[in-house]
Amino acid sequence: MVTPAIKFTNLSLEQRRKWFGLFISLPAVVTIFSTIFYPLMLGIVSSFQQVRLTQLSDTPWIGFDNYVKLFNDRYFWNALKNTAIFTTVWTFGAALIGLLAAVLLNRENRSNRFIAGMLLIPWILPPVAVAFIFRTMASSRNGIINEVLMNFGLISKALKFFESPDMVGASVIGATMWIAFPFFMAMLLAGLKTIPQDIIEASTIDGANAWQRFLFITLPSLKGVIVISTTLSVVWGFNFFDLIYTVSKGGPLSRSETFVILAQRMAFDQADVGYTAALGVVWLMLLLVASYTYLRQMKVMS
Amino acid sequence: MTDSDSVLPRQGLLTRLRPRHAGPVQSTNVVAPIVRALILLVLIVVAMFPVFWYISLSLRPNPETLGKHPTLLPVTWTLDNYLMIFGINLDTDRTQTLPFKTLASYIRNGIIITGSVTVLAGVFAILAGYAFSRFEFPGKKVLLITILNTQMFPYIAIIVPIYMVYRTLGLVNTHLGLILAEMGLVLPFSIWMMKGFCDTVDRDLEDAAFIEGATSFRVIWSIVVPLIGPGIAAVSIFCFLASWNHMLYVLLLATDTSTITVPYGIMTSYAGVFQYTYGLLAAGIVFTTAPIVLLFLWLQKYYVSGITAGAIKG
Repeated sequence: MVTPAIKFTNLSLEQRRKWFGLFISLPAVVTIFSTIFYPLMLGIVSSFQQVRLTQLSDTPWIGFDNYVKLFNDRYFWNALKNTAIFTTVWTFGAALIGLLAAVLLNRENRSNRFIAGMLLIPWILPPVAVAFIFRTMASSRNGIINEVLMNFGLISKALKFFESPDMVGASVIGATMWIAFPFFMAMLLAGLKTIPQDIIEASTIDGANAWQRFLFITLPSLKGVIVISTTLSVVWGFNFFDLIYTVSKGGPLSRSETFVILAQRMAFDQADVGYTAALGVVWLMLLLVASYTYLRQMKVMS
Repeated sequence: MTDSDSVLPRQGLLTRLRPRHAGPVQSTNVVAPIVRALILLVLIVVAMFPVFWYISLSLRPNPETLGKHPTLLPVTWTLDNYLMIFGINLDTDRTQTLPFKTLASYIRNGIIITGSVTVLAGVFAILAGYAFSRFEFPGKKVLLITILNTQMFPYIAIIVPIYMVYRTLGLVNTHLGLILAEMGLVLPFSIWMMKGFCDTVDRDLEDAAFIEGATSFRVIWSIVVPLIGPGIAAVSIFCFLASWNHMLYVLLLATDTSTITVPYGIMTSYAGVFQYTYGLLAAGIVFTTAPIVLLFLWLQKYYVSGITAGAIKG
């Protein structure tokens, strides 16, 4: 019997597994480091430099000037406010609707599966397409939403959903909730399936009504899933770009301008790379602090 | 009646007992199904109406889509908009038309980029997710935490540096550049999904095979892959959808029809050139989105189970 002369096989099983694990995770790790971490490091560096898109070779160090400029910029505070409000409201709204749908579709059968399948569709449509659909439907000139509302006599004048500064925020939130609620529904449905049926039955025998069962058994058992899905949703919400960019480009009057939209405008329309990089760093800090406190809070509560 | 009591399933017995113990349950039983059906109906209408509306719009002649007081269904049914996608213009009033060549190039770019991202990122994520779930290796914990945290990164903060690097390397406006960038985008969540899925799969079989001394890749191919098949499907679908639908990187790193993919293509050409041709815009969107929706409806079982696996056991 000739043993293969490869060193690898001479290692103990434990050793072999160890190096094999590292080896097969390397392609992903290298890709992530080169496409995310390396650019991120460059970004942090350029947040302390004067970098313009038109002049990338000559980049003098300017210390914290970009950050000073950022904190004195009313567009930054506006974007911070919008991002915080939008993300909170659409995550909360989508989670509530998703929870409602999940609870109603919890029993495993053909029709429930079919309905759940239909309700998942908004989640997989390209956000760009969703933006066009909603812009068309909400048009103040001949949009179907205004038409329906007027036919029912609910409004007398067409609403300018995405065109008026006062309504654009709510409209963007609505459209995003439409995209995001199926995600919560899917997560919570899967979470509901893990609740042992006998606990529910036992509590029913003990005289708990549907509402009590929901409040004292279902919700607490779903806590883990709720934490994970809201965290993911907040993180995605911060990065959510396509829909807002397509539907309003952050306007009118910057009323729907979030961090991503502001960053895109500053980097590529105003060509101020340093400012954008500083914005990215601040944003990263905010997200890290927020998610850390959130996860801690959740741990403390349990 | 008394005879059958003993053979009643547990569930049935409980339901029969419930009214006596839980009083009001029975009275709500009449109303509850109706309320439930009504809420579900509202949800279905809300979720499906926008989809229905765009299909309906795409089947109308252009003047009708521009007219005031739209009707739910087209007054005049027509396939003109779909023909126009292919560059066939039967309506002499409409002089504007997007050459099919342009849309075809968006679709081609989309297939090249999404195909590569799905295959490469899919394989990378499956390997890494499996490794993170099964093996102990140096630096594992740090790597895992770092990778999972990248989901939190502000991509816009990365995109300018990427653009700068790409300019030096000549990767701006290339398929390769977009493929790499989008791989970085989908990998963290894919790894998380795959790890979550692997954690739920029993590992006795593979352990046995490893001890038998089978070479590691053979083990993976013939024992592990069949076991984690549904997870692989989920990761692939996720990569596919995320890449096909993605716009931000394309907007910034693609400059002409040789690399622009479908969402941004639709946004610039249909919406830009044909600002007031809702029918054509709708047809373009339906035409490019329908295949994805159908694919999803076919495979959604895997997708949903993969996405949720990590969250459930965690």
